[in-house]
Amino acid sequence: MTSTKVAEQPAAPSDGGSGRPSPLKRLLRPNPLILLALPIVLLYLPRFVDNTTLLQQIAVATIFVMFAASWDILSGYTGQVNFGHAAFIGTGAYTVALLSKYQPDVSNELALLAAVGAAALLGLLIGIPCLRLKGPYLALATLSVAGALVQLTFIFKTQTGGEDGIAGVKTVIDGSLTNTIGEGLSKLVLGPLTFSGLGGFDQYIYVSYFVTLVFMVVMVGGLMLLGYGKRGLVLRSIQQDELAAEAAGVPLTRYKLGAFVLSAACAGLAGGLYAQVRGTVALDLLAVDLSLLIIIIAAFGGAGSIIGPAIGAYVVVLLQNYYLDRATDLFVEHPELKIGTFALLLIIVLIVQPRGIVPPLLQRLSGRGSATRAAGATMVEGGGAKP
Amino acid sequence: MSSTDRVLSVAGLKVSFGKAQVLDGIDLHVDRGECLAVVGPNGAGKTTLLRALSRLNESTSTSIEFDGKPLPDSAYATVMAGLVHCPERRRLFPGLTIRDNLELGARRLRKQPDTKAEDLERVFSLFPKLKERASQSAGTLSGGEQQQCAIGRSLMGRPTLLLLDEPTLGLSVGVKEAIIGSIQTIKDAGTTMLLVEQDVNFAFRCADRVIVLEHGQVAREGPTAQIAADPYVKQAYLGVA
Amino acid sequence: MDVLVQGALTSAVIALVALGFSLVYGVGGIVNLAHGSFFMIGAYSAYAMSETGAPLLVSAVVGVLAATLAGVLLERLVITPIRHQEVAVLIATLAVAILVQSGVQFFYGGLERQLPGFVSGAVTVFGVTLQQTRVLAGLVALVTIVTVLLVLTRTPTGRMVRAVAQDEEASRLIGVRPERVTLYVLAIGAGLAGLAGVLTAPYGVLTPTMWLLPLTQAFAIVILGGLGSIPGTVLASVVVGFLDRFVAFNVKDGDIKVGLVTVAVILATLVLRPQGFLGKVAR
Repeated sequence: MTSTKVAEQPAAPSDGGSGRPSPLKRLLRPNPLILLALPIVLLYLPRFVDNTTLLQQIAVATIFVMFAASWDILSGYTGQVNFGHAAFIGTGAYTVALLSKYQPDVSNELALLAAVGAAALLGLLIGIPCLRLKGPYLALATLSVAGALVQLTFIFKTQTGGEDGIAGVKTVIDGSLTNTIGEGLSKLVLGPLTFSGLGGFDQYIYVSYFVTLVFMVVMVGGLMLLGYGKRGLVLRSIQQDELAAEAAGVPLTRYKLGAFVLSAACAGLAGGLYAQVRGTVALDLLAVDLSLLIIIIAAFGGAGSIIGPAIGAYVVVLLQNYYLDRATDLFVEHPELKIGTFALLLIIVLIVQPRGIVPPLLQRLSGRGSATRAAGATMVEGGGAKP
Repeated sequence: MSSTDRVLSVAGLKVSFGKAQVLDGIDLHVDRGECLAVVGPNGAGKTTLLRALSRLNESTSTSIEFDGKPLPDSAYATVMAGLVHCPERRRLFPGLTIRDNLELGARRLRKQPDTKAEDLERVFSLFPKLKERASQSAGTLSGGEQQQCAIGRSLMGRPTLLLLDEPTLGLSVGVKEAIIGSIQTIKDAGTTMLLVEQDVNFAFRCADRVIVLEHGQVAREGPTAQIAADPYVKQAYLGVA
Repeated sequence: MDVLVQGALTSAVIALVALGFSLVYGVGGIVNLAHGSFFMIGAYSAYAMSETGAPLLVSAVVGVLAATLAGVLLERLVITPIRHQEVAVLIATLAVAILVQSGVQFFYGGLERQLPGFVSGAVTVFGVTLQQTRVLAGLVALVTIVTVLLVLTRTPTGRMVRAVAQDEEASRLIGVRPERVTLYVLAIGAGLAGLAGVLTAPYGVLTPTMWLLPLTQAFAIVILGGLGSIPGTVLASVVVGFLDRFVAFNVKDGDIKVGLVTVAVILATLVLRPQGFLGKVAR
């Protein structure tokens, strides 16, 4: 049974069956100008938008960009679809929160490192048994691990707070690194006087905004470099045909496990940062809803391109946390309907056109340079075949 | 020959997998009571031809008439119309007993008066081994017995046309002979057959007419004696100079 | 003794959920992540009916029918269009599970709810005192399981279902429509899961996230028994059922650790024997 990546569907027919791994993806490689423009636009946005509620939600969305991108490097690239990404996110977030609660002396930076470590370890633990799994087994295994973590929080209720979660987590303001980055950029963009004149809570929002932005640009940039480079091709070759990849000399175990751990580590970092931005952790960071939301983001953005899910995250999360609340009071009174609506939309999109929305969009934005790219890829992949 | 005696007539049948044109415009016909053999090298499209006729593969064609009507489009409807395909590699249900396998073959007749017991006896008298082992699971049978069971399963559906794909594949000489014998018996009892076979000698012994399929096209067609005497066929398939 | 009797009763209920999950995979090649939702739909529909004052038996029947109907709708509307795209089916069915969860939360809120018991009081069997509702649930489940197994092994319909599971294409060649069989199996599997939901509703608690544990358990069972294997599913249900009760009785706070143990079973099996312990046994 061959599992076909959903968002990959258009790739096969469009390349006329030449057998190269998803040329659409390379077509998709967005214009560098647009890629550079995005962070700059985001950086200077607070100068023109003074709606702090919106900025706060953009910061949250920026974190979700990291969630989605870290999901994509495993699931979109190698085709090992993770249905329990929340497990990694939650592990990172709870690590930071527990450290803040029980070891308040530990610095925020160290706590983030611990979050990365804990999530990476979990990634390794799940990754090993999942190495040989495909499709349904992997889906169910990752889904159940996330479910088990929720139960763990109930078992250690005194420590984790159970349903109530943990409040009073040290925030980005309390971290010297994060505060320096945040304050520095705030003063740069808003002007030092303006920033100093703000109230404490507004300062906190601006700091969160810029810190998340920096983390996101570094993480997404790194993942994109990886994804569009030689290693990304190897990861894709695993998705295309595992046996062929192995026959070509790809060290399958190393790459699959590596992708698992990298994905987990990035999610752990983003989760930890989220805890420091929110100041609280709760079960929503482990729930199936979150795992599905990430899949929804990737599905709408187009998996396997890093940038697709990243853009998808802004659209979906801002809709969820900001625009839907302003569209109708129904969503304010019944927040659970939001994920329900997204789920319904996802089902409809999957049935009607299972290829995601952003890929065709981006394809139109940057339609050139595919031939050279394909030729380069052949060489690169040839090189990648010998470990 | 009147058209009512024509069980199957195919015109312009094409099948392609992606860019590969596996069948490229096949014309053929099968008359009632006759056995038409399709021979040819590996990859000529023999199995694809049968799978297209039983609607397991997508295909296009100018026309396919079966039993005086256009051949239906779905696998289910072709079976119900009486075109029964005994597939390559037997394809029994290994976890079910031989009796279960055979009785499942009679599903096509479930809306008609019950003839199951009668047909089962006929199959058992044709293949006595199957009767002995009727309550064993089909997965435990030897290759030859599995082939017998597969043929028996197809016969249980009282086919108007039986498509038989490589019935002797992978069998030893002695077992092959037995299968050939029973296929001749089935033919003599009046069953119309379209036989795909790699063993040309065997095909010539059973068939009234032969089609040689090469590269998805009909290379030769004619009565068995004529094809067997054809110098090209002799050289390419019979190993005679 | 406690564990034995309770384990047997629990096993039967779990098997009720797992059997449908496994059959749908075996017959249609579909892993339905919304399978646990049928369990929830059964429980909540019965609860909703009993709230309107309907007799409990009627509520129970409505619960089972609602789950069955949900199964038909899921197959027709969601699965059929994307049947051959494995990952799309997984994602879509998970989305359905979340959709149902958010719907239930919308109508009933996140609070725990409970269905009144069909019977009340306790009964003593083999020296073990049991809630009567649990006994009733176990017995009904047991009878249903046995019936389903008999249908599968002894009737022409069951024979046809098994034929499709063993070789879908060959079944097509004898005039079976696997798509239809899949629909029926999914509908019946949904009904069975719904029945399990109804049966456990009086002693379990109803919450919008109650679908996850039965799905996880069904998965553990199917992994232990081998995907699509009927005897494997039944046997593994017994293992998981007994484990469930054993943990609940012998470990501190056992009831909330059940899911954890289930996941441990899953991961251990995946490491040791990914094809399941009965994966190769004739189905």
